[in-house]
Amino acid sequence: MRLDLNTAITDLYNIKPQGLGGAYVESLTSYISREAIKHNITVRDLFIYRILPRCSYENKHKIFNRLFSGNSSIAVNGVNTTTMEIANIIGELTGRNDILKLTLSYWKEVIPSLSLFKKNKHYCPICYAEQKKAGDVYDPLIWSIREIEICSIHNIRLVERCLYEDCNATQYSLEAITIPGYCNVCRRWLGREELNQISNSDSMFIERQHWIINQIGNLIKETNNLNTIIDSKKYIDGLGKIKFEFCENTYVKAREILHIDINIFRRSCAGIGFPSFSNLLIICQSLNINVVPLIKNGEIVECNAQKVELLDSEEYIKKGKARVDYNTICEQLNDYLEINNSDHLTIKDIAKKLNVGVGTLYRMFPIQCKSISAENRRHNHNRTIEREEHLIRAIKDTTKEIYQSGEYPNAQKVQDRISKGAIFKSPILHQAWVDTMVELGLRSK
Amino acid sequence: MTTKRLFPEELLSDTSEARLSYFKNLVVMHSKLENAIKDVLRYINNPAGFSLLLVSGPSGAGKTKLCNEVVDLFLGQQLHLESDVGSIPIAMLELAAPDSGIFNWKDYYIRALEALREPLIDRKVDYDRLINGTDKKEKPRISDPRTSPELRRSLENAFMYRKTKAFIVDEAQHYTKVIGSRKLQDQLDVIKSISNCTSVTHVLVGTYELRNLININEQLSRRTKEIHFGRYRADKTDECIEFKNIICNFQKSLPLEIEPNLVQHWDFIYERTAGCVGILKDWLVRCLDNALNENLKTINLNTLKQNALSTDKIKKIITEIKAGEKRFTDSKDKLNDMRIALGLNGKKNNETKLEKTQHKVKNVGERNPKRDIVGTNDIQ
Repeated sequence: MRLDLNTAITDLYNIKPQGLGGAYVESLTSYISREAIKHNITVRDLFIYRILPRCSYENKHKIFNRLFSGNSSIAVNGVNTTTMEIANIIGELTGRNDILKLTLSYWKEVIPSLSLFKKNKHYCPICYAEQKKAGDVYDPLIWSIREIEICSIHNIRLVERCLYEDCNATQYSLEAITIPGYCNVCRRWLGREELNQISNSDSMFIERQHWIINQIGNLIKETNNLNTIIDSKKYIDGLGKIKFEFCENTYVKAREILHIDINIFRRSCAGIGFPSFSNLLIICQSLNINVVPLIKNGEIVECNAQKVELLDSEEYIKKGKARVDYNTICEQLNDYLEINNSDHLTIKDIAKKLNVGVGTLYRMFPIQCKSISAENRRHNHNRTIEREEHLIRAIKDTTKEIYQSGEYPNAQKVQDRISKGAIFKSPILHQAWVDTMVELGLRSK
Repeated sequence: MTTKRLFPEELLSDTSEARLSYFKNLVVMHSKLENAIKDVLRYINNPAGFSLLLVSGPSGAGKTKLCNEVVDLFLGQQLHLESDVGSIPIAMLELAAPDSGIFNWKDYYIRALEALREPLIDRKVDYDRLINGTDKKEKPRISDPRTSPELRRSLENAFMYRKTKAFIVDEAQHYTKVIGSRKLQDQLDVIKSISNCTSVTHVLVGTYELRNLININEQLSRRTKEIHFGRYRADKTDECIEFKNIICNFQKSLPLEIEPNLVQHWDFIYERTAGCVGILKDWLVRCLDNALNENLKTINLNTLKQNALSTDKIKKIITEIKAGEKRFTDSKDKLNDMRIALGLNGKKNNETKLEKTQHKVKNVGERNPKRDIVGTNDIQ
């Protein structure tokens, strides 16, 4: 066979990313999935045989451990070194020089990765249906930003689970086999022509979301015009200007006007650490200014849209800004203890219900928290033992059933019959099967 | 008067391996090769409704050289247009003869994917099967181990995303290694289907056996263009002269100290090559190898005789060539039949012919139908 072309051929197809240059540009995880589909290989194989061998030693394990889980979006779409490495590798494999524009890597110096992305994939089923008619189905990067909860085109909440009741599985950005538009578990089509729109009574929420989507959309659009990573110097200058012009040059005033923690703002102005993306949105919303000019050029540009309150009082309290009423919390905690916490809520769940921080609860009510934790641990341990006993019984009965039906009751058959997944990974359960086999005379002791 | 040699002079002081290698890689252009290349490139650049090109010719005519030249020239045309490093505008594959004697599509897909630089060929999955909700734990049972839907789909995707315009298959006569004429039709159907799905012109290059694929059905015939890459015939003056020129070019290109005079033996050379330039080239390579090993300064008739193909082999080649060439000639009978079918003036001639034959068709001893005189003249 003759090899043609004197120029180097890329390993992967040179496929143009969808939505390039716009607010709804495809995410890198979606691009990788589509490349895998075009090549008729799994995403897992693409990573194992093509991407990971080219990764640096430090990042190889980091990337592999984060893949195919809730952290895959963060690892691949985000602002980390792993993101840049993966994007560069994909660029080499496809011969494209615009792969980094499918991530937020150009903003890595000014936007921390903390709470930037959602853990699970969120999607709009109506967008999927429309994309399918137009051509290829893909997941826009904007859907994975934590702050965004709705689809601004169709005014519906983004969905995080499979729409089929018998599946209802959580969707992740990258799994071993990922097909945009299809459930990662049951592999059924997730697109819909219609879905229930958000109620008009949530108009404040919708308005707020539209403002956020507009800002993030501008950020993503601006990414297309960048060729280098944005320096943080101008951002620091911008924050200084805000402190001077709007906050009477004091941090206490800044806390009042900007609704963020004093220490966070102080550190940001000093260039030590920047506010998280959600706090950045709060700052900009408080002053009704645009995000992109501030972080890119340190400019304060007023937003054309009408000012919308970003936080209502309930959310403000959730952020721990309101004072904690000791007596009320103490009473409620004791109630949980008295009724033996029948729902077995964790401290985190209880804190959420009481609108306080977990740290605050532990600090103010250490004895009650320890007691609740101990009780939950006991309960979980009992549940584990019960489950194990139930499974041991099921294994014994199933093994005997299969043997009586004339077949050899090997471990795989027993496991499939009980259909609980890889149960024989547990040495206790495996031993139960072995004991049953010895009892039936199919194995020696 | 010494004529100019067609190889670099410094080659004479080089090693035997280098000289042999030079001659092996040499391509001497001649009119049949040039015309065939021109035709193939024309139909690749402008298919005009033909999705398949069939280039058939005798064994040793130089078909593989033709394929290589087409690839080089086509790439030369494309390089300034295509800045896309992911694209493969033209690819080539040499079909292997099937071990089992029956054509294996799975093997074909794998080789074609290798030609298109496809990664992870052994890790392909069928996404259609995954999407349609079959049990993901269950491995697909392929009823026919000789084909593979995921490989076929991968090949179609590869053609599409590599922006391939033409795909050349050398030794394409191996496609015909199937049992039954129905299977033969299926073979071409598959190639045509892949070609139609991907808009890639398939160029099938092979021996005269390839012609078995043509005329299986009218739809396939319409989409297929045949190009005959034949030998030089001694009974045609211009081809005879051309063949002598080719011999002359070869003799000038042989990196030997003294230029051999092969043209004077053109009769013998023609006899042992049947006019096939490929056979001639291979023969001269053997001769050159022989001469270099024995430190000869030139090639003479003895060297030619020592390295020539035996008469038995040539006879076999000629028989195959004759049978193959016959199919390319449009005989008068064929033309007449066609005109009759179309209702053109060929009809009248045929009718009188039929009348004549009707008169003629009679058994021996059979009398003409006429009344015999019966009875007597006396009526009482």
